[in-house]
Amino acid sequence: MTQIEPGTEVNLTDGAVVQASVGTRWVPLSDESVVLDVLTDRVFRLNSTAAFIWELLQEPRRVGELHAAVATAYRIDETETRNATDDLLRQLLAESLIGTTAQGTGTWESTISKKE
Amino acid sequence: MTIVTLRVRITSDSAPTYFPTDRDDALAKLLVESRRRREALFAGLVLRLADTHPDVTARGDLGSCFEDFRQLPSDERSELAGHPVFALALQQFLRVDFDADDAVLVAEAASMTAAYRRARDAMRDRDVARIGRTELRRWDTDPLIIERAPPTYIFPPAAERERRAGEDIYTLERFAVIAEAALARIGDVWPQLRRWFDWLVRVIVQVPDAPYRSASAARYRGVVFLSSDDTTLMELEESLVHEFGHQILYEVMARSPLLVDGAAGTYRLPWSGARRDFYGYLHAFYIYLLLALYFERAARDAGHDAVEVRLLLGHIVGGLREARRDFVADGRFTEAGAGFISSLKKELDILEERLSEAPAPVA
Repeated sequence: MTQIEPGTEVNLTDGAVVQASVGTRWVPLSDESVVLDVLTDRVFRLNSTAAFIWELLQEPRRVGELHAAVATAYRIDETETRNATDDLLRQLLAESLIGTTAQGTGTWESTISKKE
Repeated sequence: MTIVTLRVRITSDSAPTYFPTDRDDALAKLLVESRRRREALFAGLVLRLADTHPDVTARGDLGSCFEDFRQLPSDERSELAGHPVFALALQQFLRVDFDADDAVLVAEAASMTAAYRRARDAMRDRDVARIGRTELRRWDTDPLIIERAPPTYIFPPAAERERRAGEDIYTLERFAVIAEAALARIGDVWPQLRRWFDWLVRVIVQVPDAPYRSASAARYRGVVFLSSDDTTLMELEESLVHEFGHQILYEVMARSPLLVDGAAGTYRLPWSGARRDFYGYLHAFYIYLLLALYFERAARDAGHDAVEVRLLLGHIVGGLREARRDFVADGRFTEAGAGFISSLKKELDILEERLSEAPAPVA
């Protein structure tokens, strides 16, 4: 898996697997979640929808699986689900808060181990 | 430690003035956002300490304190996050060197925890003097505020504070009655301003021997110092609205700077003749515009002397007209600042138009 630079176009296929980086710590706070990136010492606030997805990302998830979970939880149409979910995943990737690997392209490797 | 918010962004063309008006909910959004940032910062710092020094977190009370914070109903947690004692403690905690010895970290965590509990107790304690929901303090002011207050006010040593607490002729209870009356009048004139006052001015420190009518500073925002120099209810109203305006600007500028670093110059304030740097001048311009809007409303209020109010309004608006030419959206302002000052000048234009159409008061 490669480190994603900000602004990089990422192809998030339904089969791609994403997961929270091991260098993140988080805690839910009402309808938000607070995520700490221990490497950069930056704190991220996730709104309720982002927090819902973040919680799912504590385990490896296929992008398609996330689309389905968001669609079910928020009862929104497929296009809106994809746009909202993929937009968040790109932001998380750009901030190295999650790592990704395409289906069948290799073993899981977190972004934090890549940085080290 | 920095905070990044990930969410869908909604942008607007017009820069808000943050005045508490019906047509503008920017102030509400600003305050909610400010408190949420503090909540996130507290969470981030606790997560950080737990990650690098789990033993320190386990030994102290910080973990249970944070859990208490997390479990609070969101409105109560937001109120606590807006408390100046919590904010000051958080500022200190933010400066902690996480590479320091465990003993230092334990002490810092204990200090944060103690301040958290004091802020929480102050919100709940029915024995604390208040005007509305704002705490009223004098010699019982929180140690963190006492520490940060100079040079605004230098408190006497603890023993003297204790002695003077029982000796003051002008008691806090007496001041509370007068301040309550002034705030009630503010509520009659501008109900939204009165409502937001509780959100922004969390602690009033009434110190009879201070060499000014009122004072505040960004470094301890949420706290206002008042002396006993206001001799009429209207003067006290003016001081309260004046300090309310400062608090708005502290919040605005904490979120995004309005001036570029090193915006220099010394200016004479048209209202008082006092000299200020450009930062102080901008504050004055904002506050006198807020006061003008306030007294425009007060002139229509039966409880106010319309002639007296209009005289004061004339003086304030005259100063605003004079000051306006100094506030050109030039290189001294950031992009946000340029939009902000443009909105303020538009507000002044509209006010002048309204005033020119208003009938003269009957003496």
